Amino acid sequence: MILKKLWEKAVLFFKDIQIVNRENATDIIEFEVEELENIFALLLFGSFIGMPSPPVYISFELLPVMENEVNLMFERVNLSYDALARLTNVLGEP
Amino acid sequence: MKILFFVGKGGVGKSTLSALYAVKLARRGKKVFLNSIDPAHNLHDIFCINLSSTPREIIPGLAAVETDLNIWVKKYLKETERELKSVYKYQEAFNLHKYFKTLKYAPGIEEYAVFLALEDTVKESKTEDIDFLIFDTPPTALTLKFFALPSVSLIWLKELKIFRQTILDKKEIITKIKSGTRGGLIEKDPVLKRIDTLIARYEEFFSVLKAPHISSVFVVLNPFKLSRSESLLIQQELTNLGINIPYVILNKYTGDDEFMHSLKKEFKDSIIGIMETQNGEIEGVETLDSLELPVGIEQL
Repeated sequence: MILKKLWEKAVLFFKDIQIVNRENATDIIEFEVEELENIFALLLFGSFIGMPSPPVYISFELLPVMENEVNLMFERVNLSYDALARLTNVLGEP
Repeated sequence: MKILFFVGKGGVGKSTLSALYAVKLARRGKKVFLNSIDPAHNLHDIFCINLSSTPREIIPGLAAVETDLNIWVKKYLKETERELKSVYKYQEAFNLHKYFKTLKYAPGIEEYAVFLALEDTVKESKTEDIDFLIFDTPPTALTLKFFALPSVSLIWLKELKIFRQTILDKKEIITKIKSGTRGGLIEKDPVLKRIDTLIARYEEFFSVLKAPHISSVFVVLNPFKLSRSESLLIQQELTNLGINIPYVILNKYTGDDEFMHSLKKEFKDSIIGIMETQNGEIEGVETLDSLELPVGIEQL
């Protein structure tokens, strides 16, 4: 009985380790994806901050479906003073 | 259906010639729709009747409109604003409303309005079995921008599509690692879907512009240096875009053989038609009826 319980705990433990490893493995890609999405939004709506951008009508055709990216872009603006902290957070301490 | 575009420098006679072709083709029993997309309309002066954005019959078989580009700009902005409001509930923070008020002056909006108006007219004309759709175009600068619009937009959209796909591929990897299954993100992504829709839309329109059996460009010019150099510019720009110029009309011809000779050299792939100087104003359907089509381009 005790052995069975122990076995179950052990299985759970290794499963969690697997999940943690997966999370770790995807952290950097996720960070990269967020950066890419931010750039994608900036590429389209850069005219807001004076960047050259595609013809206005293309930006405006896409704007209604880009809620997430636009949110991310604003969030990045807010966190821009602390970009290094975000990077070290993902990469881990040296 | 055939689409005819009359292009050229301001004042060379684009409106008069487009009206002349419209009347003559209608008299031959064709169903013709004449549309002026020049913000400074002339058709009402030529036909001596009031014209608006609603089609009006001039003679049996010929209807004409003068498209109000401002209406198209407003309509487009209103639709986008409505769509945005439903998505961005916090739009007050964006001050979108104020932004939209100034957006009608944004660069590119005017030629986009021309594009929307044209796209709509072409679609409508297809359903109404029109034989000839004739456009009296704005002065060269705006017309060339409009002709370039689909290809410029396509360059941007194709790059954006590649970028979006890179993002989605990476997202797909994340989902796969985390859950072990494919997420189907690429198929579901609304941004990619919209980019694809836009690409399809521009490609369809561009293929109509480029198809020689559908669209024909008539370059109209006068026997003067300035009008010729502008016509050459049009030729160069359209050739770069892959659009042919099947017809060139030398309007107000006075018998200058040297000019004609060099024109034939410069437009060697086009049929050159000649229209001699007419006495008096060209006004009203009767006057147009009494005129002949340019020599050399009587049949289309």
